[in-house]
Amino acid sequence: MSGDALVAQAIAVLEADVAVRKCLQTLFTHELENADQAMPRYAAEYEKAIRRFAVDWSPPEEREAAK
Amino acid sequence: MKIRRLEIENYRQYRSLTLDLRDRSDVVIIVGSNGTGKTNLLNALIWCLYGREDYYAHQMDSSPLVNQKAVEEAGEGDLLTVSVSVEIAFNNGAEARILRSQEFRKGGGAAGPPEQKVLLLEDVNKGYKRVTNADHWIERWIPSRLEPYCLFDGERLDNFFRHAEAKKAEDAILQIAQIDLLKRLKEHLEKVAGDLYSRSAKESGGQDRGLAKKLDDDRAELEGLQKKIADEAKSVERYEDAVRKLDGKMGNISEITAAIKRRKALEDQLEQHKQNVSEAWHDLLQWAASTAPAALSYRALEGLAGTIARARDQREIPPRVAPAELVRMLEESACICTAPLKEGSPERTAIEQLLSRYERVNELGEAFLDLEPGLNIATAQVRASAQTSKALMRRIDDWEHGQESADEELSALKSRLAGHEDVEVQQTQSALNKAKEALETATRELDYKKYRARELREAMARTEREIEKLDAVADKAKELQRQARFGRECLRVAESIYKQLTNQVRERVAVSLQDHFQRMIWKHESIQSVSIDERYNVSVKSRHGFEILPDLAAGERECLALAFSLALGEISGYELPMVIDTPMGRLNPDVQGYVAGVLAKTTEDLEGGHNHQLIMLMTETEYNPDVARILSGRHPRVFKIVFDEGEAASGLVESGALAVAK
Repeated sequence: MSGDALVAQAIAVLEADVAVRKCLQTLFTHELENADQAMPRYAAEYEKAIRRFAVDWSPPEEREAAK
Repeated sequence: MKIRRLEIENYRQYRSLTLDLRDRSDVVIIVGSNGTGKTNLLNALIWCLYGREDYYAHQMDSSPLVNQKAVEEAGEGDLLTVSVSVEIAFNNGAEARILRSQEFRKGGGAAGPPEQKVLLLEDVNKGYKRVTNADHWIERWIPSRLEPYCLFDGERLDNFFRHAEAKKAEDAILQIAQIDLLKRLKEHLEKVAGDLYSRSAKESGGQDRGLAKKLDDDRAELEGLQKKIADEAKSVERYEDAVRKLDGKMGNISEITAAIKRRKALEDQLEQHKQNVSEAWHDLLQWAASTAPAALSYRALEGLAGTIARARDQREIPPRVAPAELVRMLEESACICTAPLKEGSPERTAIEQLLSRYERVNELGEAFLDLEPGLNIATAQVRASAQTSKALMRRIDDWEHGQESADEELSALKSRLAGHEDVEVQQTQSALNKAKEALETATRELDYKKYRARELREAMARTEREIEKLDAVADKAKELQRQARFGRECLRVAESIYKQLTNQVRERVAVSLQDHFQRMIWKHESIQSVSIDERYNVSVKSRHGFEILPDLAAGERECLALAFSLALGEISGYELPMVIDTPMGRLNPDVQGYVAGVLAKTTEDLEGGHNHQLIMLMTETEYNPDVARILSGRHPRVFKIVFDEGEAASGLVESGALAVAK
């Protein structure tokens, strides 16, 4: 298994919220694509991913209340 | 994956070169004298793949890639093309060609940026098809992060475990497994989440309570601190490097100091030997003087003792004779025939003389017998003293031999110590002390800044919690806050993966490193374990549990670095060809053969029945008959770089495996 696959798989098999997992996958792909850059631009891309996946995520207290 | 063909045009000292490895290419040896272009073959390959040259000599720094002879022959303003093309074959049978070229105009330098093409052979009948986004494909096939572990200079092997390997090991492991990208992801996520919190505070009541400002201030301070931490870390690295170098020098100096001590000890020893030899000679002379007379008459004494012993044994010495009849005749003054024996008569005189002779014979016989024990003692003493002389001679021989050895070692030490002065030792020691002090200060500063950064992070987390607790929160602020919390949650999870992966990969590398290293070294039974601890310190323990990494010989250290490269290769999941420039250039000739064997072995027994490809660029000294004999078992292709002075260009000639070895 190659290095990137190693990290990608670790993220894929995470026992975490789906939204968190998907967000991390998106962010890691972004880092992979910019691996050759010393100071990659990241803020906009990160905010975009967070905005996109945070919609499907609930803070613990909300999850508790929903139960 | 294997390199099948390399074509070079107008690149540095190569006007036109083709290295065709379609037929048999597991072990390839390219032999060339210094300056003929070995390193530039490696540079050409790296340039073709990544557009840079990693191993140029300093004088090449600013010189253009284009072959100088080609420039001379071209007309003013003519365009010259430098190109390097590499054909690679994948384990699944697919083939690809990577071509990089750049144009230069005579008198005007580079005429344009380098152009890179990647051609993929999808079908032999249809030929190569050009693919777009060359960098992407190359990064996919031969990731640039793996380059230091598959295309490298032998110096790297030699240096890797020489000094403070922990940082290098950590960087290599994190980079190879791309965990460094996960680290970058964490850093980015932390900043973005913090920013979202701050914006949410601005949108809510937090602004009024100064929370947003506090968060912004803390974040600004944290960012400033992180920059300072990075700078400080670089300073620490610089000082560590200086300390390492000086330590290395001090190591030599310690050796020199030890050699000076040894010289003194040898001089004392030599003096002692001389004294011992002189005393032994004196003893010998004394012995000679005291035993010389006995020794000189030894043969005669021994002969006499022998004669007596023989005479005694054969009863030649008559027993004591007691002529009672003759005595009675004299006492009675009458012969046995009754004739009177008057005083003074001739008969009486004759009997008296006979008696006297009898007495003499008896005396002589007794004297002989009395002499025998004395003679035996005397000869035994002479024999014993001969042993003493032999022992003395042996002693002299031993001392003289010791003196010779001490003399030899001393003269070797003297020539080694020539030119090393005490001043140099003192200066290095003082520079080392200063560097250590600076390192200590920088490390203290770094630790403090890290502590402060931790404090700030905690403060920011507190502020963020306060923001979360704000009652009157606008919708927009609420949404931003939710995103910020989500960002923090992602960060928490990323941190947990990071921790888990680093441990996992480190342990896998350590297991593989131990496996490769133990297979490589001949005294593997004396190695108990090779491990990498949580701080990435590589440790080699003897079977008695002692740390022996610093005591490994140069060849063993090179094997450890090679084992590390192979372990990283395994983790990377790629089976790339290994191209090493002067792999054994820094090793003693007596271990070159051994390391050559180890290198050749690394190409064997890969899973799937295919072998690694190993291309070694060697000097003529490295490719000596011993090395050639050892490598011949792997049936290498051997090429010799020939430099044509008229053309000012190098070319390759294939040769028999042993024919090139000198």
